[in-house]
Amino acid sequence: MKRAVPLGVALALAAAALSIHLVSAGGTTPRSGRVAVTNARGAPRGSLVRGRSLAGAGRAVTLDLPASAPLIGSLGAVAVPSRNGGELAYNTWHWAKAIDWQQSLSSQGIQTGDVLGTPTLRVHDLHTGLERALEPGTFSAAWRSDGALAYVRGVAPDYLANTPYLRDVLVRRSSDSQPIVWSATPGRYVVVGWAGRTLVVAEQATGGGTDLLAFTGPRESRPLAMNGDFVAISPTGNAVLVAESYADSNVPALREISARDGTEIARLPLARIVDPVTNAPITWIDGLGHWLGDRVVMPASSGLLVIRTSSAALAVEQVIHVDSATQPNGRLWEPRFQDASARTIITWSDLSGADSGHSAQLVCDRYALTCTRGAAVPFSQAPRAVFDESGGEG
Amino acid sequence: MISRLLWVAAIVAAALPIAHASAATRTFFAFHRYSNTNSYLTINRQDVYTGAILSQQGFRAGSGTSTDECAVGQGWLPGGWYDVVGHFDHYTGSKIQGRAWQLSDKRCYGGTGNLRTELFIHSEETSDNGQYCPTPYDDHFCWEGDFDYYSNGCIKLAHAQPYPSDIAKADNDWDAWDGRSGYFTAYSALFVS
Repeated sequence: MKRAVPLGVALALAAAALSIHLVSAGGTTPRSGRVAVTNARGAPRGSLVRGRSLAGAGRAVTLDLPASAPLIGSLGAVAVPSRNGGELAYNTWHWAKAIDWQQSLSSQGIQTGDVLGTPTLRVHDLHTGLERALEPGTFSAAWRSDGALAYVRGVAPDYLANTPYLRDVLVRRSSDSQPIVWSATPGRYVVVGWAGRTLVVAEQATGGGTDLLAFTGPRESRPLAMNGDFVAISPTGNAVLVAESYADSNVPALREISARDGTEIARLPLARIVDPVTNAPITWIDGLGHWLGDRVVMPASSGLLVIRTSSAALAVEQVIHVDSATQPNGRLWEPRFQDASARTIITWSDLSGADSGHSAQLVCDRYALTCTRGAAVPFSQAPRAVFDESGGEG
Repeated sequence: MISRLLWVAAIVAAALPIAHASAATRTFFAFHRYSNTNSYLTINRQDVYTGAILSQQGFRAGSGTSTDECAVGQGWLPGGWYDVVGHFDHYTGSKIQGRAWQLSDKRCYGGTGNLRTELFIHSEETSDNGQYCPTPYDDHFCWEGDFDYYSNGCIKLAHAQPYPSDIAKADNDWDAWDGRSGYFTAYSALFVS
């Protein structure tokens, strides 16, 4: 029997559906899709460091040396503000000589074991403008809420070509106190952030990939997540988000784990996260992400991914497809929510084609699915976001 | 692909003045990036005086899980010239074992980006060149299938049937053509395009 639908009911349902669609398109709720990118002029937004210039800290600040962190790469922030905003720890790097990186090292007379460069962390007092260097060979930093500063220090200060650069994990109770070694043995450590009083450290493996470790004091550490890339720490410091990759698993997933003991709280397989343009599952998620409230934004093969967390689940809120981010060398870096509304995301894109060799800031309204792209700047001068992944009280 | 190979051969010929001058031939790799799991690696034996390629063997190869060469531990190998700084038949790393070539460090984006270190050409096999497959999942030292071409940034060759596998063929070529093992420097012995 053919079911009859009263005309009034049908019209009401159609009107309701249309209004939902119009509200979404107008930009009050997030939906997955391709963003439209337009060019814009104007100064980059957010808290940024570019060479010696620090912007977005309420006033312009000039650092003593340019901020640079070639050894950390995508594993950590180049400049990290203390929780009370009074100090900034930033990475610097001194190259031992000029190198043409298109050529091999040996063709330029550089042999295995020769000094390539030296990292040094510096701490800038944002009230007085005074600045001091930590020990040579130091890099990567995270501030605990009580002002303790964690970082790593090379067993030798210099990075030597083609050799493992082993380092220790150190913690100072304050930036001007004596460092205490927390690692029992040197390793390829990078400090990624505090989760309460637990220090989360990535340990790089020969040939790539990282394991996450939890340090709770001198010579006190335990595995937190094996074969996982760090993404973010929850604002409470109770949980850590870790991404597995197809290099380590044939069923990789985004995992929320307990910072206390590494137990898995929630798991979301990459195969269940679908790019809205290609209709194919995304192929990778990587850090560094930004965890704000119950939302986390992170780089992904589609461009950006926004996840919502609950007590025992990870749910896809939005998969944002950015065409340029799906091209070689086009991934997005260090996305940050602009404010508590979590509507605007600020990130950086490497450019290709005519703008190859340059980066540009993207400011994206994720409700309207639009981004404005700032002026292209050379990679070597590209600003980097200033942030600390740490969460919780310590 | 052929034009790309000829282009690389021309570049290699141009680089001959810096080649291993004490030998009549040199051995080098050329890696052509197409996708993370389906790129192409050749091993070549070249006359150092004429630039002629005397022998060549090519393999499907993988690199990275993304195509951004600056993504540490994730992006495919950055472009440019590398030295081979070591070759091992029985490497015993925590995540890499067996037949492996270690590559020199490389800064991505043409020298303006991150420093990529501890890079290798390798497969998924044990230190004695066998297979260890204790679980139904993805084991580090077991070649289960094509998804094993994904890597944390290194170049990967298959350890798959029919034997000899691609990693074995490349190793046999290296041993026959170059012969060095352990730590050394093979000048400009890999070009990535």
